[in-house]
Amino acid sequence: MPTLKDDLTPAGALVETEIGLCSTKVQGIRHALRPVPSTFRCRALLDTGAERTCVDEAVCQALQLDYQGMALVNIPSQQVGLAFGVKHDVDLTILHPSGNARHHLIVRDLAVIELALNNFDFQVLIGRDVLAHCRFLYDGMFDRFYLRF
Amino acid sequence: MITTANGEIIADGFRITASAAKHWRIYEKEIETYLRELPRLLAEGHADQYALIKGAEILGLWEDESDATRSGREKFGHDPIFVMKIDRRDPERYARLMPILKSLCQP
Repeated sequence: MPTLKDDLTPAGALVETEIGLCSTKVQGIRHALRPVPSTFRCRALLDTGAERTCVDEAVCQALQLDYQGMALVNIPSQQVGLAFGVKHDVDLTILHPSGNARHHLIVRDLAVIELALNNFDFQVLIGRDVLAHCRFLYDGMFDRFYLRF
Repeated sequence: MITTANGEIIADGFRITASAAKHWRIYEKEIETYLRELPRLLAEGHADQYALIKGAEILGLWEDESDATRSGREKFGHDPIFVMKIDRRDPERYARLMPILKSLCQP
């Protein structure tokens, strides 16, 4: 199991991610011989308070993501209790700092909530839906964190 | 009710995102169907499963959200689909949320 370890930042435990169209949509685009939009590289906060993974609205709009429904989710870090937002399906990759693609965590067909995160140092909140597949250690005493998946 | 600079609406402990405030009506029928069927689904033990809903009809239930999404995409391509987690908390939460959403439509 790959382990990602890094220093904590003032914003918390941040990782690099890529957000892209879900694989089923990419297959359809390739089948139609149309160009596949590039993925977006985004900084993400590991947020154990977030019930679901959220992506900044600017990223969602730039990728022209398909609508997958709506959801009411608890995101305490965003200060106002329950957020009601549009859901989109994406492929999310947590990039391992080694750059070795075999060590990246790829989550396909993940339903994410579109949320305004423009006031923060990150564009993605990685919530408990993704963290459920990981072991996350927050080592505040040594200002480090570990993510194993 | 407060509307923020980026178009979000904050009311009664809810934060309604700008895109949700703008687009929720495309799912109004599906939300009504979900709320109508929710007591029965919970009583039948379907909590935490995922429903694919189109208009007034529940097309299927899945244990995994991505399976429900894939089924929706097979049926409807890249048109908006509506996949909803069956959540025990929703009767109370949506009873508070729906009046706020409906008030957004009033002039």
